[in-house]
Amino acid sequence: MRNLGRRDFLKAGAAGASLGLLQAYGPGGLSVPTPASAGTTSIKRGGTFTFATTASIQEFNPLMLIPGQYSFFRALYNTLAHYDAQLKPQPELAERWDFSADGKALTLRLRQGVKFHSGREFTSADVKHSVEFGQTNEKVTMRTLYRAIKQVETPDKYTAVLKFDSVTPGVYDILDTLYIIDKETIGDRSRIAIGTGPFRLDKYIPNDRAEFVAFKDYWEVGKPYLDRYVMRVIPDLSALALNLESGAIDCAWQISYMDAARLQGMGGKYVSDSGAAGFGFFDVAINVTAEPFQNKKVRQAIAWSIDRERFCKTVMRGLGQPTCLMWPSYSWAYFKDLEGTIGYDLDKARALLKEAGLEKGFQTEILTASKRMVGYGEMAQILQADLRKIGINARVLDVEPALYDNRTLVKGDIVMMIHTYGRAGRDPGSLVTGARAWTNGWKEGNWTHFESAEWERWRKELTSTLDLERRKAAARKLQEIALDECFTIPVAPALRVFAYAGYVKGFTYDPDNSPRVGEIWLDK
Amino acid sequence: MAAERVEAIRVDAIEDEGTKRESARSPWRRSIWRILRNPAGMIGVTVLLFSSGVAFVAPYISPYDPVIQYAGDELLSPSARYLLGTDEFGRDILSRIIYGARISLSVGLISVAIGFAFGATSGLISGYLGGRVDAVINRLWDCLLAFPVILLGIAVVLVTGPGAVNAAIAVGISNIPIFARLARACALTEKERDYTHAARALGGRETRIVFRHLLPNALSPLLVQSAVAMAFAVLLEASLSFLGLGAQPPEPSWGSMLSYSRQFLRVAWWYGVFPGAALTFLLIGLNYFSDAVRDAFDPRQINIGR
Repeated sequence: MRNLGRRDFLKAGAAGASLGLLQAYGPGGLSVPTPASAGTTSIKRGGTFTFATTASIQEFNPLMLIPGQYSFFRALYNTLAHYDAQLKPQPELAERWDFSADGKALTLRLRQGVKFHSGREFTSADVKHSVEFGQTNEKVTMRTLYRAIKQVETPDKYTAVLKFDSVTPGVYDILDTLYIIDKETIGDRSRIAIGTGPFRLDKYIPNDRAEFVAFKDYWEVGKPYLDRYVMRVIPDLSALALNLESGAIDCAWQISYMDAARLQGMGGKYVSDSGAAGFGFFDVAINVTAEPFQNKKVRQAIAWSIDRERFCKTVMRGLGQPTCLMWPSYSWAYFKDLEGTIGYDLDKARALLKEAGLEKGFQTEILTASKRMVGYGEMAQILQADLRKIGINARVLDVEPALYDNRTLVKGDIVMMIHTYGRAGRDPGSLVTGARAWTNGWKEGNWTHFESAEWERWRKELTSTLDLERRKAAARKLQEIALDECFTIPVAPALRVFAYAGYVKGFTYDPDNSPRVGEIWLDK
Repeated sequence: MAAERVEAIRVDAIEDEGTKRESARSPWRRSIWRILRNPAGMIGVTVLLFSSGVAFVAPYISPYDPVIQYAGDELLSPSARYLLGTDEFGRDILSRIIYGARISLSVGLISVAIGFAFGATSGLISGYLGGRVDAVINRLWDCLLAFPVILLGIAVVLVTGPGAVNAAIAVGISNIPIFARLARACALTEKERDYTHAARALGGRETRIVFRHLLPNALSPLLVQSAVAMAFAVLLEASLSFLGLGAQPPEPSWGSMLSYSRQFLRVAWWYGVFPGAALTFLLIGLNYFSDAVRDAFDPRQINIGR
């Protein structure tokens, strides 16, 4: 048997998934940001970079993926490795790594001399703690992904060995998303936000702002370029772009698609960047245990009632293409022949309702949180109007993001909801293992409560082999089940648009749209 | 000189005739007459009647269904097809404004009714009975008054859930202490009057005295307050809807229309301007109307008039 090496994992994993990924993890449809090193202008140091978004910071623990947190992940914390713009894994806190011959063990050689913001040295014990926390804490969104690691050994301070039950094609997704937290302070509410990242927390005013200052002992020589990073919360979507234009902020995230298009047309004064295209998708999630959605035909009727084309055209301003498939079009797990399996056909939807004995319609609710992200409120209203046409009277319940998260993440108490799922642009196996919308059952955190032995069988097949043909076959089976069961119904790519002033340089972000603040500098 | 005297006598005679005619009317008819004679009152009544009429016949005069989305017609500017343009979902703004009048006026009426019913009743009882009952009821309303009205409204809606009816209840609850204090003040004055003593001496039950004797005599200031509260209620409902706590999609509400329009003001001015104009129009009318009602029922104003 040939020894498995890094190249095998690259081929099977996210980086080797498809050539199309190169375009995925770069900007989407609006513009191309310039990496700091790419320009000929010399980097200017110092200054304050002010970033704003609509979502507030509810929690500083980076393993709980709550929308407002994306703004500081890469400012406060580091991961063991990270993907570069070509989705190739690059060393971060792990300087190098080696796979065992059978591919079931990964030895990480850790960077020495790395300090936490508390002043303590980073060691392999922190890797072990972060993995265990990520696997066991119920609030960790991707805990199911991290559970692929069966054991962490720490032979010395600077070596950690991750052991798996089988080969894990999505191993680089684990390394890229598992932020290293400080085991000594993570449970201490008086000492929050202690990481090893380029910035440390200086001031935090809930629902208003968090201010970060450059970490003097940061391990990456010469970085960060900025003195200060301010993350502001501006809950009013319409005020985001206005703040940018007035100069009150340097960058706005998740601005409306209309503002994005407008700012892009302002002669280079602003850059509108549609973010990591493969990050995720808008979806309609349905609780398969709620009446009358236990009947598959009713869920299918909903799927046929979603006017994806209209949503993309009117709400996303043409920035996204409608889809009914779970993986992005550049992924090898995207099966073009299945695209269009479900479309917008109200007659078909009515027929399905009739087959389910519900031709007279019924009452239900659509849970949404318009403040969570642009598009949530609009999609709910479009869906509500279309459902009305087939006799379904749906009440739109537009709640605060915290309440939305409580009903979805904590209680799994939904009937039908507007949502976006992430991790779609990574390894196809990571989506069905780490994204709650696609995991198997509520015990794994899936609020749709969909549970299936067949789904689990193909998920395991997808995530436990490096054989691409076998993986493709498994992905296709999963896609077919998803199209048939309609528990999570994809609608369109969930582009999260950044808009920033022209003087902001080196602006890049990771595959989850978290800005790499350490790379940013201001040319003014 | 003689001619001037004759003219003066004729004017006096006309005024006497007018006064006699007014005096001959019932107090209610007299008040209505005074409201209609007042230019501000005339404007207010006209606006109120117009808005109520529009709300009443909304299904017959709306060019389109206010909740139906016309795909492809999103954010169209005013034209012969859509007189006031369309919103981001292709819904006709004129139709939504017409139906929105229903929500604004309904919430206004319901909330004033709630405030009047609970506030006036509790105020009259507490003022008439006095003692511990008065102290307890007053402290309760003091607690409510301690909260800013919008905050109280938000708190009530957060407990009961968003929606037009719950917004009306929220606004109504915020009205209760205002009506209660006014009614209590009236009760404190009226209960010392001879007719109250007489009713009591004749063995009248307390509930009868409160509702048959005190209430009619406290009605004038309460009616004035109702008119003022109506304008305030319409504004508060719009504020709650603006915050997403009032009428829920797709129900047309002027406040929510204003809220949603903010995103599009640069590209679709009509989306925010017309609902805003409708709200302004109704509020100006209600304010004129409440001023006229106050003038008509205010004894000092009446004396000056004579």
